[in-house]
Amino acid sequence: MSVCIEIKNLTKCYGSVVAVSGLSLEVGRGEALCLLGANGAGKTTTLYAICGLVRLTAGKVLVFGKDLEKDFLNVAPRMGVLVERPSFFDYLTARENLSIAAELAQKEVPIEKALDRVGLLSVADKKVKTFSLGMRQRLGLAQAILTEPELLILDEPLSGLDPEGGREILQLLRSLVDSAQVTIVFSSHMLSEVEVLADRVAILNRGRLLAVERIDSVLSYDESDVEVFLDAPQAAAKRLESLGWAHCTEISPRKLRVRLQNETVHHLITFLVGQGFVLNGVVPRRRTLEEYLLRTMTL
Amino acid sequence: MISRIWIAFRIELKKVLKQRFIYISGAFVLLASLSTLGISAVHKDQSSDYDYVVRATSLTMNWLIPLMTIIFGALTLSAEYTSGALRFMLVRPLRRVEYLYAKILVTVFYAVTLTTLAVTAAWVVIVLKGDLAGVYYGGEVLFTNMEIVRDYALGCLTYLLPLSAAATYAVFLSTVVRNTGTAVGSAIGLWVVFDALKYPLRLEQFMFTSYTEFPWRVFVQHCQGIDSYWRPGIFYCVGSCLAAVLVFLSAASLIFRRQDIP
Repeated sequence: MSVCIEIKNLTKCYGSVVAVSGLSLEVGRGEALCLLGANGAGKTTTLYAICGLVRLTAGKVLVFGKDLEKDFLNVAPRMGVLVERPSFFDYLTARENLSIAAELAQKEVPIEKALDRVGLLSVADKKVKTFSLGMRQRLGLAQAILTEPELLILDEPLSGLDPEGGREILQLLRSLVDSAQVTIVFSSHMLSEVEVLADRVAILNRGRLLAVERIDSVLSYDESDVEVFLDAPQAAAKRLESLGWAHCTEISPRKLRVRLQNETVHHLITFLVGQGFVLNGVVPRRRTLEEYLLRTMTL
Repeated sequence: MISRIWIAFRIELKKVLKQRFIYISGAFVLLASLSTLGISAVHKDQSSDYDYVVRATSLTMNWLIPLMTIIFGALTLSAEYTSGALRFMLVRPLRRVEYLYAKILVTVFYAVTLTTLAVTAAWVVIVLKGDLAGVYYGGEVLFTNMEIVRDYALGCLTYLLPLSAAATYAVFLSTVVRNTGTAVGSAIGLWVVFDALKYPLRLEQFMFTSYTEFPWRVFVQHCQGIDSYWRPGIFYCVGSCLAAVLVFLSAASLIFRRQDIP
């Protein structure tokens, strides 16, 4: 996979406040990378640095192999940006706002198609000042995808959208990555959307990059933490405690949650069946992004 | 670069035409111009009615149009900082300085439009309802109508200089001050301070704020039958206004290019 964005030792200070410190990161073409972290972690500053809205204190950002500060005019036409709380010229209609973006891109773009993709075609000729927060967010996405860019920078792309609308947009964005090989770098606090959209996650904390991990390894099954569905959980728990390598962390009427130490699920099943328990199912627990995030941030 | 500035200028023009402010200020200039009819009546009586043009010009050109230009210019970028719409523009294939130049151009265009409106209003009234017969003293022609019109036309051309300086000054302030109210307030306030300090500091010849009245001086004095000359004032006017444009443009470009857009 070729590199789309190369961030080298990025540092950004606002006066004495260090927003991002020595961040180095690469994003491949056709990849969706999510920046995760608490408020003030430096996610938005990093996204703004990638799209040229903030000046770097130190370091370099290369987009499509070009230095953003020197070659902005060659990079910008290939990039679509959605900032947090997207703002428009409120006294203009949705169509007029998009036509500004189209005119500056200096190419024929299907404004109707972009509006249709985000479900705003019916209000294309309404002034943006009449739009709700969710409609503004949709319009923000429409202007970002308008020129069919190769790179999308999205700050909280689903913020303000209702669950159904959020799902539609998520599908749209994922399809852009899968079918059009669009690169997406985004930030989000909604971990469920991150799990669907992201290929990799980068965890930031107080301006520093803590970890970068593929989402499928983050969300992998933890075979040392299993849920056992059986007929007599209380009795089974007592027997397991005597073993030393299995600890029950949760007991409910029809289920046990067991943490294994130095032994496999196979051993656990063999033991329980051998003890005469009737097993209805054994499911290794899936790790969650939230756990990964919290664990990484407390390391 | 020029084509991108031209595109940005066209966009700015479309945006401006959708705003109520421009129509209100246009109406204001017309109203101000016509209101001087109450002070200086215009009649078809074979005597020239330049006095009406002088009064309408003084009222609109000397303070109303510069004031509106400053307000308009101070709002250009500060309003987009406040609303966040600046981010919408600055992620496009357009250099920041190109956008800045487009903003200055549209402010100058606005000022020129108001000037054209004021000029048209004044002269249409006098053509339709009054007389243009030159300036006489004791039956002798001091200045013909053509000479008076030429003075006025030269005044209009010269007026572009202080207007451009005022536009650049106001847009510069709107790059520095991000709040709309503060930007407008400080643009007007600093203008007043500059204007007040230029006399005690003996800088009046070098301050661009002195030259909003200058372009009309020859016209006004000729209308009153007094001899008046463009030189040497015109040199100071050109020099100080161009210097102001250069200084404010450079400062605005430098600041705007390096600014973070949060």
